[in-house]
Amino acid sequence: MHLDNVAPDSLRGVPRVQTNPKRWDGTGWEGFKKELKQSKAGLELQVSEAMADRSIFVTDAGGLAYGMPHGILRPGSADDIAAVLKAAQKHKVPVTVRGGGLGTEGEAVAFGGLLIDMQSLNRVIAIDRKTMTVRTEAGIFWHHLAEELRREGLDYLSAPLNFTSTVGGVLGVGGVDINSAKFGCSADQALALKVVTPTGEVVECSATENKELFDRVIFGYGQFGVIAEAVLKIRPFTPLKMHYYYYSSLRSAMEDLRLIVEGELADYSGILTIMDKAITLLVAFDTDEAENTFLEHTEIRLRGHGELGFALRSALYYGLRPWRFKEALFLAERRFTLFPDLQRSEHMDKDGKVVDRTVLFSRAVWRHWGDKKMTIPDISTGEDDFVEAVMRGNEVCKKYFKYYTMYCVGIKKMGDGSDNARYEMSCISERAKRFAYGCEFEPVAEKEAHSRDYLQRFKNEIYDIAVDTGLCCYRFGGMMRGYIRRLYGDEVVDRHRLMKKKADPASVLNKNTVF
Amino acid sequence: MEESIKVDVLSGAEYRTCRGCGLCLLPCPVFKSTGDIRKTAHGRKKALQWGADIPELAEAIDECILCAACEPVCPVDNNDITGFTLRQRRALNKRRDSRPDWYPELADNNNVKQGNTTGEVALIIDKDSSSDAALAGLIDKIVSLLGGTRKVGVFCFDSDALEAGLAEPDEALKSLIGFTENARRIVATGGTTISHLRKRLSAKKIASLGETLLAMKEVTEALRPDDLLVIDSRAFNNDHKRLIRLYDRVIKDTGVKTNLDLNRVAIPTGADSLQ
Repeated sequence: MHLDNVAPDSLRGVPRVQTNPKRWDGTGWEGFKKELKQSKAGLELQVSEAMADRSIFVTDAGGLAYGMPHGILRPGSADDIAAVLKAAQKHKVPVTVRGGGLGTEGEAVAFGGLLIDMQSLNRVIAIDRKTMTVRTEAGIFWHHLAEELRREGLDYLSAPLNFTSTVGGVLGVGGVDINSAKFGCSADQALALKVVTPTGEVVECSATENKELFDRVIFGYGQFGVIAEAVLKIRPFTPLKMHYYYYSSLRSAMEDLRLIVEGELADYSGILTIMDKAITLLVAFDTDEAENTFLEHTEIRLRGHGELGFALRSALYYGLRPWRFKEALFLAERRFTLFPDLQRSEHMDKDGKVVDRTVLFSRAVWRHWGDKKMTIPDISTGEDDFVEAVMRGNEVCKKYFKYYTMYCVGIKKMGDGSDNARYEMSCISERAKRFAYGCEFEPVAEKEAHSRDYLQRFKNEIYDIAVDTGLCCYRFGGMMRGYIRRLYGDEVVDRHRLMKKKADPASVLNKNTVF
Repeated sequence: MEESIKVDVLSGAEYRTCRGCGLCLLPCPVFKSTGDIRKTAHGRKKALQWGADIPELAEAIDECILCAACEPVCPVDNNDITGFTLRQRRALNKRRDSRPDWYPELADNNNVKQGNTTGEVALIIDKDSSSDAALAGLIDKIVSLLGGTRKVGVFCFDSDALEAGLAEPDEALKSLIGFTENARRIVATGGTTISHLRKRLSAKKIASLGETLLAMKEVTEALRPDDLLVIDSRAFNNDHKRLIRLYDRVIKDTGVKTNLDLNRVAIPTGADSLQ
């Protein structure tokens, strides 16, 4: 029997990959709600149980995990969250915290219990030009933070590429983009946090105050507290001059990226591929001096070509292989639809520099890769593992999809290496000496329809590369649960489990994400 | 009437395509001031995808100011989110007896102001100017810029009933469309009206007043870098793909400041919204 709304490979004896945990049975829910009403903040704490409200959050960007919370709450302050978590501990009600919902493994999907929608905590509290920092509520979108900073001629240091993520969510995961090779993860810009612990204490923490909590919460996948406010480093805003180099060899492009990242030769760098046939290395600069130095000394060392040179080579390649004309057409189509969206004139100034690049790229990501099911498994490597890990990932992509892209960036590790507590069990591979590399692998969804199981198997096979080679995976805590022991080993995991048990006795906060 | 009438029915196709990317939240003025996703196009569409009924979304449907800021950023091409909201509003109003206080009374829209009603240019002003001397004076200036009273016919059209979802567009626009029959060019001030007219008069050249004036050298030459050009959000955002090129050129040539945000979407002033 053919069903209209399932992919062709569904329901044919495909082993089902369990994505969703068992739904919490609701024991304690009524007592929990009553407790909230009676709390000091009770009058303002509105838990909405309306189906229309709950259903907005039923899935995430991944579109594979589905769960319905018992209720939704929009906090007005850290104290509201504190009241919720105190009551949740007492009544053993699971609490899922959600920012932009851009996880893909159900991290911000509630399988019963309460869902806290952090988007209501979205104010910029203070911008300090003397210390070049901003204090903001953590439910704010990076885009809105950028708007506020831009009015003052300022900018964040490193934000994730996807601007519809929230500050708090990203600080709990990492956050990378093409300037992470210079500035590190978005999470590394955080100087201080206001955290609500799983037992409902509101704590200010930083590298010098309550350091242990700070180190656990940053990159912590929401296990050790809810980030209510953050103090982040900022800088003066600069438009960027972008340069693109084109490769037909994935290996050459990655080796050149390593040259640039580890030599610290550009302010921004990254690789974007269309399969392994058209690879674009992009570099950009904050200043004319940096650009000129690069063009004078580094460009000559790159093995990439200008667009015309690459186009001629591609034409020759496909001319000799006419049976691959559909692939050639796809590349051409991608070139003529994607590239204009990355170089829109309203985002270019008179000197040909890109203004508000992340806004532009963030929109292009959703337009050209977005779908109801975002399938973006990532792996994170050290310097020496990068090329081989990505080559393996490329083979996995070819096995599952005809059309796909890969996106790779370098990530600077912050500090001198003596205090890496924050990086333990994080997306930063312990094999990274000075620089980690992140690579995401993404099918071009619009071209083929696939079942949830197929997409989950693909993701798992990418994660298996990390397991096999002792690397780690970026971003998606939901994946972590099934993989953490294999990735990090029993000693690290058991130590973190004990810390989690101590911090969250009733195990209510963001269950089934990591533990 | 044109084929576009059929899209005035609220259908599953209108909300099933929503990917939940959240891009529409970024420029949405209602979201920015409330932080409440329920009040956005994303929130409404997701709720509908999971079986919500229109009356459950009443507050969200009522609060939308129809600025169309969500449309240029939505990754789904040709996504008429404003039209979707208006259709929801009409459907909602058919199912309830009471409405918020700000809802208008229905207005008589047969109000020919002046000029040559069979002229080649139809100027549609989105409000009744008969009792407003300042507005009347401004209209006279615009008529002069467009070619004078021999060329231009002025029609005042109150779109409040359309915006409030109290009138069916085909009926409400009947006499207006009749008025423009002989016009080769239509210039209009109201973004909502322009949007409705474009769906029904695809053969006519229809432009906003802002776009029309910015095409005139005498207007752009008067703009200075310390001026603030306030772009009407509805007309601009609804036709963003085409208009951004014109406005980008004007901005680069004159240095004028505008109310475009980081997405280059016009931030609404809210001055013309019913709420």
